[in-house]
Amino acid sequence: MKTSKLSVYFVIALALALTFTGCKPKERPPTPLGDGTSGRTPGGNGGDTVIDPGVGPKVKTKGEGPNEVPLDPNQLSNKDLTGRTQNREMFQNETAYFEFDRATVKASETSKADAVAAKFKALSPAHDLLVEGHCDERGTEEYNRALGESRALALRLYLINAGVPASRVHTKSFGKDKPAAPGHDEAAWSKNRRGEFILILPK
Amino acid sequence: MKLLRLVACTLLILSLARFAPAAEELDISHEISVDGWPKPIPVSIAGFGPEVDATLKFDLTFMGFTFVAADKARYQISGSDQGRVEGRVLDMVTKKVTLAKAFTGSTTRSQTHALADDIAHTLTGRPGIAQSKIACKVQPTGYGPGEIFIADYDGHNVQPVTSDGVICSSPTWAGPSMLLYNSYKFEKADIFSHNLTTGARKAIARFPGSNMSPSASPDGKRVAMILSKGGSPNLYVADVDGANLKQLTTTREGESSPCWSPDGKMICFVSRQSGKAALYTVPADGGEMRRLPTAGISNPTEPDWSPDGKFVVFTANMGGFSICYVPVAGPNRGQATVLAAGEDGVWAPNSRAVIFSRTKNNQHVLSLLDVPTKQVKDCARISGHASQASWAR
Repeated sequence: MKTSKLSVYFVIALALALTFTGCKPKERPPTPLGDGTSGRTPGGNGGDTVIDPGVGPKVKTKGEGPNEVPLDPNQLSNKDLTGRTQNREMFQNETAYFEFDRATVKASETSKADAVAAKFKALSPAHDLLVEGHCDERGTEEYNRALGESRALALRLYLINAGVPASRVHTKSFGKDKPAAPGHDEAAWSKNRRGEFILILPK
Repeated sequence: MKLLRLVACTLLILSLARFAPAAEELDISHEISVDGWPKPIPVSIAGFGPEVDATLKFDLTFMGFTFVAADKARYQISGSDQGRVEGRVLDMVTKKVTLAKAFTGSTTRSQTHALADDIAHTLTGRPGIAQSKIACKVQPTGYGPGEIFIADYDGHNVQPVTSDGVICSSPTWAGPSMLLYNSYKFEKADIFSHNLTTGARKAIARFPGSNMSPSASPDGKRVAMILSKGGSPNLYVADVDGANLKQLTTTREGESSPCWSPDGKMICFVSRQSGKAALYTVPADGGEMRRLPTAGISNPTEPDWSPDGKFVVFTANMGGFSICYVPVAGPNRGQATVLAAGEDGVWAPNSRAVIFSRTKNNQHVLSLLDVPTKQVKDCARISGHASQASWAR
């Protein structure tokens, strides 16, 4: 009797263990950081830039020939866009929309991002591109600020995969601070969960 | 323009200087009785004019008191406000006067807050909150630039801190005269420190991408924040001047809204690692992310850890926003409770009241919640959308 009770517990424990290991979400690889970022702090005057992803400061020059400096598309560009003129009209028909609480680029929106990539690549390299991430009002403020940034980053990565140089795409999040539509229903919310593409003109 | 700014800055400094009312001891006998969350203490209040009476009751509501007729009171509070606020507390069990004080200087309102704090501290043993300050974000109705303001905890004495004409958000106190916040002054979200005494500002995180949601450690020496420079919004800590930056999380899905445990050893935050929002903790010096369950409640965001270390208050998003809280240790760890409709709750220094924002007529207003009794009262209206309160500690 005692033994059978024990074995019942054992089976339950085993089943639970299997259930939990089965449910464990897939480990995704962490986003690697370049050497240039860690430990460096921005300047006190507010005007300093911090990292330069194109330059590996710890790369040693050995022997002859050029050194290869790997560029990580996840690493953001440190270009300062302050004071540059924005063209918000050029890509206004390409605003990409998102599902509620999601930051993945929907299949329905990829043609817009492709169009942005094609138009942008045709311009001179002195142009930059800013992706603004926005959310609807149904998330809390700072949660949405991070979610909006994730949306902008997802679009940025899509553009990079479509051949846009990583150093020229920049991200910004407004969270729910700048809704496109003022309402409080799905009609408004669906217009507010968005990524806008803004052309930054040369200096 | 420069002169204007100088004048504005001087005014801010002057108004910030503490004109605390002077307390005059009359006769005191102490009775520190309460620990934990007891039932509100029944008191009666008599003798004050209507404004002082209302202010005193508002204050005491969030410090563990309820108001009854004199013959039902555990303590009878009596006093006057002719020229100065005077108050006496009579213990109806011992028949002794446990507190008797008069206040001079400053305003009648601040004299009243001082009396309320003395009553609360004497009768509950917990710090008073009526003289404490908050910082918050105020955005015009219809949206547009958001600016940081400071005010008394009840929404009175509002003073502007920023005038950047862009979105400023997420203020957090790093000591009694230092704020950290987000400003979009340089085109995107960066984190600034702002010395309220000198007006000096400094960008402490201005990395590529968004620099978001600063939270100062309880000792004011470090900051937890969300930076996207590595490709997704992740949790970092640094010294309060931005030095010694360290990355604490590396998920691709991203983190948001960190807060500190009162001993400064742990950080609680939101991660979307599992596909939707959930609360996690991580050691502030680095280590494993550990889930803080919120049983029965989904999409928890914007956590804040109580100064006594026992609870995390957070916002649940289940078709509308609710303020909830969850014990972080003990047998009920992870068992969450819904407290009130609203968002972004932050604990008062007495670990009892919570300030949060709720929507009234499509405007965000700041409100106070007495957690044990779930009583809610609105703060004085600031303007536009007021949200993201941070309590000075």
